[in-house]
Parts: sequence; structure tokens; C-alpha cells
Amino acid sequence: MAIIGIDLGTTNSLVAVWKDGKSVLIPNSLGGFLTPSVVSVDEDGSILVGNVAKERLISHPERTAASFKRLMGTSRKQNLGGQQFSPEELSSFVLRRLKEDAQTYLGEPVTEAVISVPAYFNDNQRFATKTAARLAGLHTERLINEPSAAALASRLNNTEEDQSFLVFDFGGGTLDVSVVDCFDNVIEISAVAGDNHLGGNDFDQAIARYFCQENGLAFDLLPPIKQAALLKQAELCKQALTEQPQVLLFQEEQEQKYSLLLTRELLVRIAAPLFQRMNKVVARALSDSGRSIHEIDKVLLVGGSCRMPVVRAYLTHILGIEPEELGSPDTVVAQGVGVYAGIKAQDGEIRDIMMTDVCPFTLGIASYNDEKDTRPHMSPMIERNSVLPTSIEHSFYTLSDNQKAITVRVYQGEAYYTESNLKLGELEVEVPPAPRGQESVQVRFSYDINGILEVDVRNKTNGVHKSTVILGENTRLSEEELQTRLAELQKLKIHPMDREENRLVMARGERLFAEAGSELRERVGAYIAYFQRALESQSPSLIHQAREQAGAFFDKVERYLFDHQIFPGRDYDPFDEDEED
Amino acid sequence: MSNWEILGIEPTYDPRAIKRAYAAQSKLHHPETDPEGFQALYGAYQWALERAKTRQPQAEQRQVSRSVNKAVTKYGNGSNPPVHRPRPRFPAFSGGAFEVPAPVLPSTRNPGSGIDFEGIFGEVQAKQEERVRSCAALQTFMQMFGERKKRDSRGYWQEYFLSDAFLEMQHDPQFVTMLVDFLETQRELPAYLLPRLLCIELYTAYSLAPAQALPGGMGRMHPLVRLLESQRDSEQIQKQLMQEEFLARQAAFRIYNQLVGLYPDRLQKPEWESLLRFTDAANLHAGYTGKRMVKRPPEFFTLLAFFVTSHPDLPQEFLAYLYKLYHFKYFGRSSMKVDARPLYLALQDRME
Repeated sequence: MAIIGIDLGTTNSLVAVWKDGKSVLIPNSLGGFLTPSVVSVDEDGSILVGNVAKERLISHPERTAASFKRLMGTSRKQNLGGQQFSPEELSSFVLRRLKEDAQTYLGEPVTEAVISVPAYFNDNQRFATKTAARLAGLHTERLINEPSAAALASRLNNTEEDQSFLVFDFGGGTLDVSVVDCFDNVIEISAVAGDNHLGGNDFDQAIARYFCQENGLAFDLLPPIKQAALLKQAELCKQALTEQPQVLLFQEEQEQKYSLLLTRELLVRIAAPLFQRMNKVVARALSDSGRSIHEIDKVLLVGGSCRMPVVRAYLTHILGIEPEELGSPDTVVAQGVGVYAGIKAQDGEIRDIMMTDVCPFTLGIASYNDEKDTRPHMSPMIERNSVLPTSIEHSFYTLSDNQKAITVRVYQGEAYYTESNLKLGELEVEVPPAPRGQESVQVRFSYDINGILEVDVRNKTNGVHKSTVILGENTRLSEEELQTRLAELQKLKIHPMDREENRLVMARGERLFAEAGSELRERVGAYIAYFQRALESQSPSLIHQAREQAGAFFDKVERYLFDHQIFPGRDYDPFDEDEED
Repeated sequence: MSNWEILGIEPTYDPRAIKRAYAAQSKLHHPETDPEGFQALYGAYQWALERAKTRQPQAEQRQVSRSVNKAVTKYGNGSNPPVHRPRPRFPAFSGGAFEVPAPVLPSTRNPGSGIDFEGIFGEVQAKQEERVRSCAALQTFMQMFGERKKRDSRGYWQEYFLSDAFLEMQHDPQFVTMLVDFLETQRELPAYLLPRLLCIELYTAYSLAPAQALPGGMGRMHPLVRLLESQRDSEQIQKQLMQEEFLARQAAFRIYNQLVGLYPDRLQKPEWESLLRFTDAANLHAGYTGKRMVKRPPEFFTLLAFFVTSHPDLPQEFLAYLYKLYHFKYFGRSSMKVDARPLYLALQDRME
């Protein structure tokens, strides 16, 4: 049975499979590869996923959730139309949809998947991703880091030379940088570093805020709807800057006209702090890998935000290499996960490819220097960027006379004092009474290739031996809870895929209706009504015809709205058919 | 078994040969199927590579280090000397919350894209420093944050966030950015372990809602929200925010912030009436619980007084409305004499 590879993204998700010696992206029911990671609850209580849900972000914001990947690993629930959903559950709806797409494509049931996660995801976030997969009915033994997947896809294209390269994975909300070494059949990730809160969205924000500042508006005091509109416009401008040397950001409010001429250089100026944070991450990855800039042969760009010319220019500036991309930066991770699914299935010639990854953070235990010490500090067991799998043993001694037991508290993080690190769990082992410093425990940490940490504690004198697989504390469901929740979710109806195209046209119409000005509104409304009548007729040919017509019109409106926002001067009538030719 | 036996080759200093041997052996000791064998193989491989590195031709080593030095002098400011750190080996202590890796140096390999990044960054930074120096509200904040006693005290912060210096700057977006920058980069505390009372005051003063309460994560847009939500004890802070002692103060700031948002265009009679009459009645008198009466908090009058004095062109109608709403005609006999005094004086001053 096939193993599928899933790129579960913040903005979009994709699914791929290893087939006939290559990684193939699987189209969704609408024929595209990108399924938006958006979930919406319909008025009848059923769940909408993907493009349809995305259209509802603007028309039904209170029933729609996006960007929930950022909340993974926390216990924050989102309320959609009266129902509470955890980030795991929202992700599981997306996974379920991708699984169904894969089953349709492959013509067989799918039960196992490899899922990609940001390299900097911590233990809780990884576990939450696995829980989401379980809720979607997928067995997921393996998670793969996104930049590693990109490296894998890239390596498959060029197996000839020995290479060291840097993967710069810059998405909507996160930045991951990896240093990768390739030779023969080996792909070795030698260091990863990241910033979980730096992405393309931060550029949009910087632009929107600068716009307000220049025009004497206070961004934070604008009503949320206006903020959203302004951010969307900022995003459009940012995208337009990819093609044009300069764009005009324009906003009309209560007969007041505000504008800002944006150039690439100005963007660098207003986003200067973001570039400096980027630099920090690249520096850390390089310094951890022990390589100098000069030993890097190439820079591989991944993630939609890499389309920005200023980002490329900045990388060229600091690294001195023109960065490259492999196909579309949106799909390269999914391609790589597909390859990995093939490796996992031990398929054909790629079975020999060996990819080693690293542990992105330090794992250690809390310890004291002496009896007077009040704040425990971190004794690292597995240093960050150690190659997986790894297993390390260390002894720890009693602190006071006749101490009865030694408690081993397991932490993840880089800070000196453990209170600043993330606690993963603890274990207590009894020791025979003795003067301090005489009794000890042997602590062994084994971190396996699936990212599961096993802690093993032994006392030699009394032979007490305890071992546990560390699972975090608060955010994790017990097996029972998981089963109940699974049953509950199964009851929820997910919208059937066959009607998806029609739903999409309707949702899109509703969104454009909300976005457009008064004149356009009428026309959009008329098309919605026309399409609705066609739907009621239940005649497939009529519906098809209406769908095509409405879709074509909505395309035009969309383009008009876009042009109008970017080039306010270029006013033309979107209904004027002659304009087309 | 010696390391060379594990790798299956004769001793060598050639890194290429070592890599080749490692690649070949890894097929037999795949991490997937033989984790222990792999770990031994990997250890041997690293050992051999390290050994090969130390025997690198002298000339080549010197060349690398010289090019790094050149880059340092080019980069200029010298405050952050770049250090070439080999990968730390156990049990050497690496890491730490405050470790700042050396910045990547602008490369000398390739002339860039025509954008003068370093020049722009330098200008931005100089401007920023000037702004921080000249902002009194921020200077006071930094001073308070620097003193442990004040930093952890509720009284000092409550006073600060009602001070004219803060209120004048509060909604200046640059001030917010500078505040967040300062809190993220200061060295007193990790940015995710800020004093809880300070966090509560920030939520209050800016009337911030937790991100998940808003559709589509809209709350994330405020730069402070990200910082506050990244707090380690964020959940306890949220809980504490809902405690009664803080609610009245939050309501006061909420009304004040809404008034500031309405000014100037939308500050019309129906708007302020509904805001002051209904919100005031609902939130300040009855409180959230609906059971107990929350006393009208003194900060409410301080904020309103500031609003009146700092906006010289408020319509007389609005001032008269306030005067009537709080029965200032009978001020001498009113029980809220002390608390309401600032607003009373401000209104007296401005009304014709």
C-alpha cells in the first residue's frame, strides 16, 4: 500500500506520492495542487476545507479558521460557529481532505503518511502534528523537517557532485535555515536554525504600519475590517514589487485619499529589523555547522516569501551567491516529502539514499552545582544539531547526605537556567542512603530517528531501573480522550467533494460581493442569483454553463479589483467587453 | 574494532575517501534498521574527518582565516567580533538564552544587487537610536524596568500607564515598536518571562484581546500581542486578567481607547452617547458579573481628563455632555469628589 507524503503548511497544504520512480503531486478535486489550510463551518454545521473555506475567510470570518498551524502544540481552542476546535482537530480536517484526494487519485485506501514540519518545531508541536494525523485516520511514524525535504528534492535532481548547500525556507510565518552536505548516497543535514515568528506576513505588517505612519493614521486604532483590508493591499503591493520597480499603495477613506509610493529600497528601509533577524538565523546555522560562508556551494530557496526580490538580493549580499530555486518554491517541500515516502516504502533504487537529520534543540536535565544552589541549571545531554539517532549516557550524583531519591527532570531549550526552558517530563529513582556525592544514577538519553526521546535512569547499588518515553504534559490527550474525540470527529460531516466546484463559485461570489464597491456589487449579486437559479434547476448542463460564465466574470472582477488597488489611475470598466481584446 | 575497521578503509587524511567509505558503510548500517551500528559508524566518520582537518595543508588554513579577517574589517563597527566556532562537543557547554551568534558578514565574493543594504541599515539604526533617546516616556519605562523593585511592583506600573508622558505617546506606532523592541532585546530578563503585572498592564492599557478570541487570528496584528502571547505563563496571565480587581481598570481603558479611535471624524453625538452612557453603565457600574457593583474606578476620570486636555478642539457639546453625565453641577456635594476631581477641573477649564 502506498505511503503518501504531506506538506502541511501554514497557508497551503499539498500531498505527494512516490510513483514510477518519481515524486508526483496529487491534485485536489478542483484540479490544483495547493489546498489552502483553511477550515470553515457551514451554517448547517458541516465542515468546509480548502478553497471554499478560504473564500469564506472574508465573508464569514467568525466561522472560519486559518493559520492554525501557528497554534499547534498549544491548548488554545478556536470557536467556529459555536463549536470548539483545537489546532490538532483543525489540522486533522485538512489532512482528511488530502487523504481523500490521494485515495481518489490512487484508487486504493491510504493509511500511512509522512508529514513535514518546520525544522524548529519543538517536541510538543511535533506530537500535536502526529495527533492530528491520527485524528485523520493516518498512521504517521515519521515526521520530516521541511528544509530537509527540500534538500532531498533538490538532491534527486543532481546526484553527481559533492555539494554543501544552504536551504533558506521562508514561508508566511516562519523561517528555517539548514546547512546540508551531499555526497554519494548521503544527504546530511549538518545544522538547522530558525525563527518561528518571522515570515512574509511580517513584511505585510511593516508595509501597512509604515503606510499609516506616513499618512497620520494609527494602525492599531483602525477597525479590524480596515486593518485586514489594508494588510491585504500591502500584501498585493509586496507581490507586485516582484515584477515592478515601484508600486503605489492607495486607500480611500471617507473621501480622504491616502497613498504611499513603495520601492524596493523603501521596503528594505521599513523592514530593516526583519533583515537583521534573518541574518541572525543564517549566522547561527552556519556557525553551528562549523562551515564558513565560502564552503557553501549553493543556496536553495523554499517557501512563497522567497519570491521577494529584496530577500534574494539580501541573501546575495550576505552570502555572495545567487540563490536558486527548484521548480516552484511552493511545491518543492511536498516533492521532497513524496521522495521520502518512497524511501520509507523502501522503493527501488532510492532505497539506498540515506538522509541524516539533526536534533534542532538541546535536550538536557535539571541539575544543581551544590546544596546551596536554589535555581537548577541545564545539564545538556543531547546538544542541538546532534545527528539522529543518538544515545548519550551521563552520571549524576546525590546532593545531600542520606538523600532518598534522585529526580530527573527533562528539559528542552538553550537557556542556562532550566526555568527558561521547556519541561518535557520527569522520572524519580530511589537510591540507598549514603553520604552525599556517593550515590549516583546513570542517565541515558536516546533520541531516535522518529524524534522520540527515551530516558533511561539506573542506580548501580540497588539495581533500580526506570525508563520512560517522554511525552509532554499539558497539551497531550490520553489514549481514551483521543478515542472519544476521534469518534466525535467522525460524526462531523465533511462536505462532499463532488459539489465542491459549485460551492467554490458561490463562496467566491460572496467574497467579491463583500469586497467590491457599490456598482460592481450589483453585477456580482446578479451573477450569484443567476448561478443559484441554475443550481436549483438541477440540470447539470445548465449548472455547468452558469458556473463557467460566473467564474469568468468573477475572474474579471478580481483582476479589476487588483488593478484598481495597485494602479488607481488605470480606471477601466470591467464590464466593457472590448477592453479584453 | 578500530574506527578505521568500522569505516572499512586504511588510515587516510583524505576527506573524500573518508566520506566515500562512510557512504558505502551506511548502506549496511542504515539509521532506519541499525541505529546502534549507525551511531558507531557516524562516530568513526566524525573522528576521521576531524583528524583529516587538522592535517590540512598549512597554506590552505591560513587562507581561510585571512579572508575572515578581511571581512571583519570590512564590516566595520567591530562590536560583534565574528568567531568561527567549531561544532561544540559534549560536554562543552554551548548555547544559553542570551547567546548571540556573530552576524553573517557581507560577502566579498559577489558585488550585490544595487541596493546598499549596509548603508540603509546604518541610517535606520542611527535614526532609531535618536528616537529612543528623545522619547521621555520610553526613557522612564526603561529606567523602571531596570530597577528590580519597581519592575515587579504593581503600583509603579499602574502609575506609569496613567502618566501624561505615557498617554501622550501611547498611540504613536513608533512608540509601540520601540517598546516592543526594547522588551525583546533587553538583557535583564528573557523576553518570554516579563513581569506578570507589567503584562497585565500592557493588555489593559492597549485594550488587547487575546489573539484566539478574534476571527482569523486578527489579534496577532498588534506587535505587543505577539510578545505577550509568547510569555511562558501566558495562560495564567489571561486568567488573572479576568479577575475582578483588574476588570474596572480594563473597562476604563477600553472606553478611553475607543474615544481616541473615534476622534476626530467619528466623534459624533450618537457615538459618544452610546459609548459613555451604555458602556459606562454596563461595565463600570454593574461590572462583568452583573451581580456586584464595581465602583467607578478613579483611572477612568484620569483618562477622561487627559482626553479632554489633550484634544483642545473637542466640541463644546461633548464637554457639556460629560459635565451633565457626571453631575458636576453638584460637584461640591458629590461622593466621588476626589476621584472625579481631575475631570472636573479639566472641564471647568475648557467650558465656556
